[in-house]
Amino acid sequence: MSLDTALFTLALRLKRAVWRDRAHAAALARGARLADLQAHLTLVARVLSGAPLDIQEAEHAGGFAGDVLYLPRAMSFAEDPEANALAYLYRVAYTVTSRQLGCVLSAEQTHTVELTTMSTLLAVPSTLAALEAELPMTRELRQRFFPLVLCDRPPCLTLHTPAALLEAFTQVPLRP
Amino acid sequence: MSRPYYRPIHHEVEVFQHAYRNQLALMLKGPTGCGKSRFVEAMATDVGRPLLTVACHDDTSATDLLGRYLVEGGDTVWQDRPLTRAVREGAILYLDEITEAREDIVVVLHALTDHRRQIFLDRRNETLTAPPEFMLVISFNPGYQRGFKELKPSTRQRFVGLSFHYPAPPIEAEIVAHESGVDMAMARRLVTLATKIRHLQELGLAAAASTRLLIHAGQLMRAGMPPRAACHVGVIEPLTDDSETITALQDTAALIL
Repeated sequence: MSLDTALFTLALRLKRAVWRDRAHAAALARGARLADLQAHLTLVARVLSGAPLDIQEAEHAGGFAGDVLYLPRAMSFAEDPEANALAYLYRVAYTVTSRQLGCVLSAEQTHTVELTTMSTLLAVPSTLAALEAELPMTRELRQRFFPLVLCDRPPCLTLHTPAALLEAFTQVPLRP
Repeated sequence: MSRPYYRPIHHEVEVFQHAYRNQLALMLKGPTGCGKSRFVEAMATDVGRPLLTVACHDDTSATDLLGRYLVEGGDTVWQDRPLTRAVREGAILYLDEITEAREDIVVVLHALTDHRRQIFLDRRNETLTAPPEFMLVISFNPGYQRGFKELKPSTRQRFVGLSFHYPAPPIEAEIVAHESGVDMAMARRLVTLATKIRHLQELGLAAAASTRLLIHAGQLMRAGMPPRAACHVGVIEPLTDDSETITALQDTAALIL
């Protein structure tokens, strides 16, 4: 590698690192942290389910393992901390409702991406119907947040895998 | 007088009528705000008798129920209290939250609730026999008496017993809609919230979200208050003082209303 190329590569990496840091700082500023909401979301999950659920931080994929609901450490796709806290609330409402219907895979075991996505896809219609019946205001939250969630997802049609296809199908009923 | 609205849940109306016809005293058990008092009001109207209600408390004594001598001018005048009045008039006497009252009233009730159907006014040396129209109804909430203020078996076994619970959701929604004036869709949502709160003991609530609270919230909505605000002041705040629980219930209400 020539000196010019090396310098250019270094400069590019530095610039990207600065962008990443800035983006990360911005995400932190507008994001909501699970640690701040954990006690509150646990109470909400218990009220919604009537079960002694607990909420913990997910190391990998979120979901239920027994009575523990694993959620991401932080959420930052919405515009400010309040909105991201609402997104957490929606996620709790959706996941708890799905569990009430018996439509969740246990997070105790590792599942293939295809199985996880297929499970999500199959649960969408009944979960949305139950949310509409019991928690109708979640529709407003879904309409607000789903386009933002999609922004962070890779474009399905460019990914030639079964999981991508399943995800594309899953997104259809969830679209506002 | 028009009959107060009461929506039968099971066979409680028939039980009341049979107990009344057979001169049996009636014991109602159930959580607060589930319709016990309204039931008695409606039944008293149905049988065409006046209703005397006593809300019992720590200081309610036999004297408060039977009567006392009062000084009026230079004379001493006997004044009947609710139990004596009800016996004389052949009324329905409703002792609400009986377990809150002092134990000396039990002595008075025993002779009234067996075959004798009598009360003895010792200060007047007078015995009164209840007419067939008289009926004694008592109520208490087993949920928050927690065993330290229970009726003795010898007292309980003088009554016909009826347990009240919160109605099934479709019936409760019907009641909330009727009593508050909100539409059925909103009434169903209020009931959904209450049902979720009732299922969870871990909130540490002293009492569950009652039908009465839902009606209050509905009335506030009917008066123009936004649903979430009405639910906050009408349902959530009366249930708890714990700020975390209040916030969690507010968020739950916001998902429903």
